[in-house]
Amino acid sequence: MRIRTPVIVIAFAVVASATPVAAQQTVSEVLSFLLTNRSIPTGDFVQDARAAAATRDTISAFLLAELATLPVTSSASAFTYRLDRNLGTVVRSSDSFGPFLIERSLTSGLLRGSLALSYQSASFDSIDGRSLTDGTLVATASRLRGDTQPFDVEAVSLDIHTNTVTLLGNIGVTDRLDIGAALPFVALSLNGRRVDTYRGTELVQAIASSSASGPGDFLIRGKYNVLRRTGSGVAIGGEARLPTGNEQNLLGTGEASIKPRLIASLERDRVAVHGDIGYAFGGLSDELVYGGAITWLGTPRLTVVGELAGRRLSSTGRLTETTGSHPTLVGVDTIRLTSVEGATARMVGLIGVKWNIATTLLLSANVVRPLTSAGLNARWISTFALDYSFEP
Amino acid sequence: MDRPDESRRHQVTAPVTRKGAAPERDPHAPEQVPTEPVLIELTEDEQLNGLEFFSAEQPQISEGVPAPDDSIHRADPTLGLIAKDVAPHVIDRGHATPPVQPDAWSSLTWQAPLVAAVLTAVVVIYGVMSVSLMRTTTDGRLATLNDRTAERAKAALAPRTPPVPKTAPVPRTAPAPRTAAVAAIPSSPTPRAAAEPTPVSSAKRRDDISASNKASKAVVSRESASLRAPARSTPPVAAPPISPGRQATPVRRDPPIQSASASSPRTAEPVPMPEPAAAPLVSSLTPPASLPVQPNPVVAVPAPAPLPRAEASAAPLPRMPAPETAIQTVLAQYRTAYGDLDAGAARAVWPSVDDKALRKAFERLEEQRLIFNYCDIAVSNVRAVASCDGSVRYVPRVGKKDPHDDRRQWEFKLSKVDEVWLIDTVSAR
Repeated sequence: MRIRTPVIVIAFAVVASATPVAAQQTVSEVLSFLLTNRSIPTGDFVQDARAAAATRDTISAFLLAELATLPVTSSASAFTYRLDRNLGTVVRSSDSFGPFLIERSLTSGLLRGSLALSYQSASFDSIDGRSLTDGTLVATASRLRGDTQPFDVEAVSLDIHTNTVTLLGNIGVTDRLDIGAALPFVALSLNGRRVDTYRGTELVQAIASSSASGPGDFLIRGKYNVLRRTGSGVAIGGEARLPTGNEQNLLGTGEASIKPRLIASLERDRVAVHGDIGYAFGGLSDELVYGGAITWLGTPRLTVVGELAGRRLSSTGRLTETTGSHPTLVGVDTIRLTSVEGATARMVGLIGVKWNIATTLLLSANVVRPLTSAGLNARWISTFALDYSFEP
Repeated sequence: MDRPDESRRHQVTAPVTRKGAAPERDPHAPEQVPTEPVLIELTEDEQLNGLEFFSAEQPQISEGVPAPDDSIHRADPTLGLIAKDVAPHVIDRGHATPPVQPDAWSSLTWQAPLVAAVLTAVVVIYGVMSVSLMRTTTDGRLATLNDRTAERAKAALAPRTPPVPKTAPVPRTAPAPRTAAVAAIPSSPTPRAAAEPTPVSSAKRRDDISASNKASKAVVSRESASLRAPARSTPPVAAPPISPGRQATPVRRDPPIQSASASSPRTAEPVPMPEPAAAPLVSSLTPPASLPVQPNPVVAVPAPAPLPRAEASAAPLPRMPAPETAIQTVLAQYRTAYGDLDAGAARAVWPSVDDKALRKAFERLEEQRLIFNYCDIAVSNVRAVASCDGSVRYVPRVGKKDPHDDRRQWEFKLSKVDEVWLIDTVSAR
């Protein structure tokens, strides 16, 4: 259990390093500030504010959705040896250490558990197909009717970066039932500026930055192995997210959610496939999650993982541009970045490895790349984890 | 008794090296030492009562036999005289009385104790070797050389289970191991056995089988019988090899060669074997004390009383191994295979096992040791169920290397296929 000490130390270090947010504007406020028009005379600032709020909410939802995309699975089952009644000897439950994002049907086993510490870093650079960082994200614009290009544009550039350390634990309550918990500690930084370009002349309107760190939404999870045949089988699982994260700083959703899942695994000699599907109620939005993973056994101590994970958020909305006539200026249209109701479907791909470096210590690394443009996207999201499995 | 007629001494048919049968010699001729023994045919009366005849004979050294010199005179051993120093003062060329030579029969019988001593020594040495090679293992069973080698290799894993005393009482109702010891040995003679035929009379063999109650005794007595048995005119039969090396021979799936040729009487047709040899190991003859062995119907039959040879030959011999013994051997092989992480060996006693899965399971283990503390064997015709209680200790290959100890219970379902007990299914929990 030597791994526990550094895990706890790092976890507390992350918590201790959390920036006090009371004395500064929240990330949400800064984001609203950056998105709200201040320079273009639209003639309807109410609409401007409403559009800015909608856009902020959508960006926040996308961001929180990404923060929730964390690998919280356990690999303890790969160190579990179970009695095969028909063979009369113990067999390794699975040669594979399992996938990252997708659940596997196998449980850890009675009183067998794991503690893991993961670190994830992400720099988001696009949202709903628009670049966040190159200053082309138009927040408000005025255009002469009939022209293709606006003559007055207010654009926003955002640099959103997250570092997340997640402490997670898993324990087998029975041979077939696992319960686990995960608590992410998130450090979020937001830097942005709003630039007004009037007939080719740029003028910086605002620069703002904010950062926050602290615990995210606490996650409790459970999994029951309904059917098991060596590493293959079917399981049902569920997870609940408790709104422990600061909502204003975009560290938490502010609402609890629960997500039941159905998990199936099929393992063969060196290759295993896993699939799960679940539906989340509450939280940011009702959400359908699904995915599949394939693991390949490089050696008994090394597993290579490839995954596809999809999600469909039903009510986070989508960013869009609305065009409306200027209330006072004839022949001028006002363009606003706002959000409309709609589902967001996202898909990411993951490649990673899990390497048993010593005894039951597992070093994992993976990178996630978005395969769709919807939502908030980073070019790559990398995650490293140390997983220590134990048994009584 | 009269001395045999001298006229018949020219018909040399049988070797005799006794003094009384020496040919006449010229007393004045220089003494010549014959280079070859003189063969003299004996009469039937002499053959039957030779000792009486010759014990009455007087020494052939006649009075006044000229000696080449005054040195100590030695009798000619080739003539049957005892090599005995004669004191010079008793050698009188004139009327001195020749030394009295011992009787011929007594000069021969002194070898009997020596032969008996040699035989006894051989038997004792063999017995000691057998016992030393069949020590009990820590889990209470008799161990073969291979078992002990494996034990030494796993000394680090071996838990200190209280060993079952070698003198653990074996139920009297189960003397099957004794018969198993004979019947289980493959009849195919080894080259050694073929080269060293051991003539054993059927009566003697039967006596050995029925008289002894302990397996080791059975083996020893059989060996002893082989050693003691005098040469007879019956053709020699290759004795089944009983050697420590043979004891470690695992039971093969192939039905063992019928042991009729080795153990059936020579004076009768081969006896049909109601329970052919399952080739149990000699080492398994004495089950662990904790093993409740069911009374063996084969062995429970009283030992046949000495019968006239013809009747005895026709009677079936209780030489088959008890099912419990054979099953115990199978279980021991199962345990050894699992301990050695040898899927092939496990398959030898469990043909229907998922060989691939078992091999994979073994590959994921560093070490494994099975301990059967207790086995309850229930036999029903060609089916049997063995319920064993014990523990298993294993070291995983991936993960922590600490040994894991689990209590375990096994249920083996066995069936006799081609006269060999094999495992059908195993259920462990």
